[in-house]
Amino acid sequence: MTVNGVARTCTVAVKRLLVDFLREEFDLTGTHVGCGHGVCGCCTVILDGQAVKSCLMLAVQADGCRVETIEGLAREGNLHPLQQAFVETGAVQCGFCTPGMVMTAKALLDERPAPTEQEIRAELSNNLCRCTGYVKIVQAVQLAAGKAR
Amino acid sequence: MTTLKAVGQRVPKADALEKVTGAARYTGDLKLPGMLHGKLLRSPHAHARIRRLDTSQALALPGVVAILHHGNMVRKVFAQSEYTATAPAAAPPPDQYIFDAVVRFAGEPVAAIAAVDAETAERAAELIAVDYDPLPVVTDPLEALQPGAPVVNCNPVSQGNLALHIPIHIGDVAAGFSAADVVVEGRYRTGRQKHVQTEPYTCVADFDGRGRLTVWSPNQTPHPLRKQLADLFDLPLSKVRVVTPHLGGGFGGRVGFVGEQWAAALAMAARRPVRLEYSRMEDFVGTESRHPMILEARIGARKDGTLTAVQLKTWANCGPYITQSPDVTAVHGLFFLRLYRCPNRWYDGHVVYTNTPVAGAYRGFGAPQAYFALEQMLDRLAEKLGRDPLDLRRQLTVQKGEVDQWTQLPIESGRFADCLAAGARAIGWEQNRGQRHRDGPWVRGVGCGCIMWVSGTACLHPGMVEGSGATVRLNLDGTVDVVSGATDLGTGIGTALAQVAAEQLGMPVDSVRVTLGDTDVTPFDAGSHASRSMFHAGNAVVLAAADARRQILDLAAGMLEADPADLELRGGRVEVRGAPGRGAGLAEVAMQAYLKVTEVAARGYAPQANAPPYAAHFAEVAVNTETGQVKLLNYVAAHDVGRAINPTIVEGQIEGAVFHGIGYALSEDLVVDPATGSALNASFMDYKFLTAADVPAITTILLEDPDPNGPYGAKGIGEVGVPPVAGAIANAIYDATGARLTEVPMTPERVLVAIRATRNGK
Repeated sequence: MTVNGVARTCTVAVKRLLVDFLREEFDLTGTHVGCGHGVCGCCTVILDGQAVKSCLMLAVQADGCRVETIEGLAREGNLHPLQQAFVETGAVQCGFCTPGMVMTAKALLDERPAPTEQEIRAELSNNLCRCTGYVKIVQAVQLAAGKAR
Repeated sequence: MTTLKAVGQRVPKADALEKVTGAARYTGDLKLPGMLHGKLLRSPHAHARIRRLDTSQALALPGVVAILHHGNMVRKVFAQSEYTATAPAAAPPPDQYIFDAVVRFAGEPVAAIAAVDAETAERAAELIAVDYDPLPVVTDPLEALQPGAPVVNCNPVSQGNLALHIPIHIGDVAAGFSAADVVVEGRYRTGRQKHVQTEPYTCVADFDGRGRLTVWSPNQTPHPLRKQLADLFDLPLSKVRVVTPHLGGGFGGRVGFVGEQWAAALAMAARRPVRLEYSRMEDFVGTESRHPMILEARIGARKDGTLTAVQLKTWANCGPYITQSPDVTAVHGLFFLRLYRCPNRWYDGHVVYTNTPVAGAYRGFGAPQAYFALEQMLDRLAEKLGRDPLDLRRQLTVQKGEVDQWTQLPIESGRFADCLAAGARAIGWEQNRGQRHRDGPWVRGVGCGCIMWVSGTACLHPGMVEGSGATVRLNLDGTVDVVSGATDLGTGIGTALAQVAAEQLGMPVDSVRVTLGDTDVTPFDAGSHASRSMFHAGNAVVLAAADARRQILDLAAGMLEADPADLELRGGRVEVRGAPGRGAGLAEVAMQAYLKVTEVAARGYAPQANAPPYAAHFAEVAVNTETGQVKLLNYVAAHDVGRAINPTIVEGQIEGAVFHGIGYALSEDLVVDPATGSALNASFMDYKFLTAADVPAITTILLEDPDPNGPYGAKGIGEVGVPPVAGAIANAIYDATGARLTEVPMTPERVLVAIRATRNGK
């Protein structure tokens, strides 16, 4: 598999969850466990271009896949436009949902660069946030989408 | 009037960068050498005596290091709550033990295990043999007060399951009701909301070779928690340290003990660090929830609208342990009695023990329950009097220039009437109220809910002290270190404190670094709760920074051969007024201090003061009269904030609070089986947590009127946006359908029942 562009080979117990594997094997603790039953989205990573809930996947299921986590977004110290937008709009409060939100938003914008507010809200319904009421998160995604165009 | 340079700016939060890149470390990311995994074994019974608890098989499992339970732990009674408001005098009676031979709620821990990894700890839990003798279960607070009800718990002042009675009697309500032309009565029931912060509870404890206990916990009150741990384990305070890594949310659920007591006990028994991590389900049932309450209220008024009597009786279901309930239940009543001007106001609060999950502090602290009832009753009163509900609120709300009915302090700021006007305009009150625009089965309505809040708990009760200290130190390179015992639960308080210090010292905000939380290095702070940190920690920082400013100007006066009164601080420099070019950088001043064998170091301690922020909320709903579904179309929150130190942060606090309020109003309830006391929906599958697709964009309007008691005039904000929401939405549902909802959450089933009752002539 590749993780954030780096090829990795490991032996892993079949029952190990992808989220635990990423956090413990590679110290990529930016991906969080919020519920363990695939609803909150704090564990969202991008697997072969799709946003997935890594708490609902076994690590072995990612064999041969391309995995992107939050740590891989910034390039040479330059934030991804989404990360920059989240900082600017005040979309980050406690930050626990933030990596998952950003990854979901990135997968959305990679596929659909000019989503409507409704489409953004529908896609972000995969990720729960308890701090922001989603207001500034939606604004951040709109800001990033706008800047990309 | 000088223009403010740092205060009022939309400075991005100092910790946003590390959070958005995944670099931020939360408690669950901490790894200590030799760290063990902790796990709690929980009772399946809501009420039972433990007849036998056998750990021999579990202890024999390789990798199990320690197991604790009621049989091998010191029996010491304690109260969960410390350093909280008590109004009126109601010190929390001690009523719980770290482990007991009786379990009182389904999910209560009966044993704690420390093992080399999570899997071993779980296997060990399965191997612990516990024989329970089930006892009768009571889950409803009114049933718990019936003669013959099973006794759930007791404390030094309890009578049966009445854990505490809180009477607040002002004036003569009997006379008041006799004098009334119109009386409105209501009975309300409120559900069990959970904080559901996205980070499941986790903490790490270590008891080192010097006999020192260190606890890393996402806790809102590190200094009070330090004292609780010291008291519980008979350690001197100097042997206890609490560190707060980034919190993944708090919302009041992390005030005082959460699970630190078990992690600490395991670390002491194992003599190795222990991480205790709750699953989401454990977080649902094993941490405190909002008090379900039953309210009976009456309000009497004359024809001209003036109130003659306000009376409330409340039964608060606290679960089996009193925790924060004395304060929550007292404050609930005090908020109900406070908003509208009336000489006769009576409250009787009853805290009741039951075998349900423990209730405690949660953003709003008893007021969401109160305002759900109060704001609907105000609307009903307006209707009976033939008055516009906004106009009646304008008449009755105690405002700037008057005396606060609760604190007896003069109200020195406030733009309540402006909040009402601005909010009404933004929601389209005139165009929508009473119109019932229809679209198939969907009918629309608008409603209002208002609030008067507090900035912390200081002055709410005579003799009560709520402390906040801060220090400010000038570094040799001209940057500044600010240290405060407050905690950042995601609120951005660290950034806001940097802004007020930067304003005092005339320097760039990013040259100020703020350290929070760690009890080894921070001065005492009562903690970040009760909407207090900006006001109190802010005041402490302003005082400390002002003192640092004096020290800097004194030193600079010598360097520049000028009078301190002729000096000003600007852009990180000290300059002589009217003589550009004659000045010194802060680094030079710091070096000057060093050469004089001293340093610029200051401390400040917040005075005991308070200030009430106001808000007016407006909801627009569409109700489906065939299914009972309620769609929130639009929401406006107009807030009287004193001063917005950081408008982005203030908006975020309002938006987040409203979000909790919407969930409380429409969908959130941790349902407990009345027969068994078990939680039926302790997961995100069945506890309906609203998503981005379920809520509209929330419009916030910030109105400023600086309060002389707050830092640069700022007032509290953290909780203000929660309590008015359910009342505003209920009033909007009434506007749309003529149906009154008396229970939250206002689920589709309840809405449909209410609509049908209206159609059947009630």
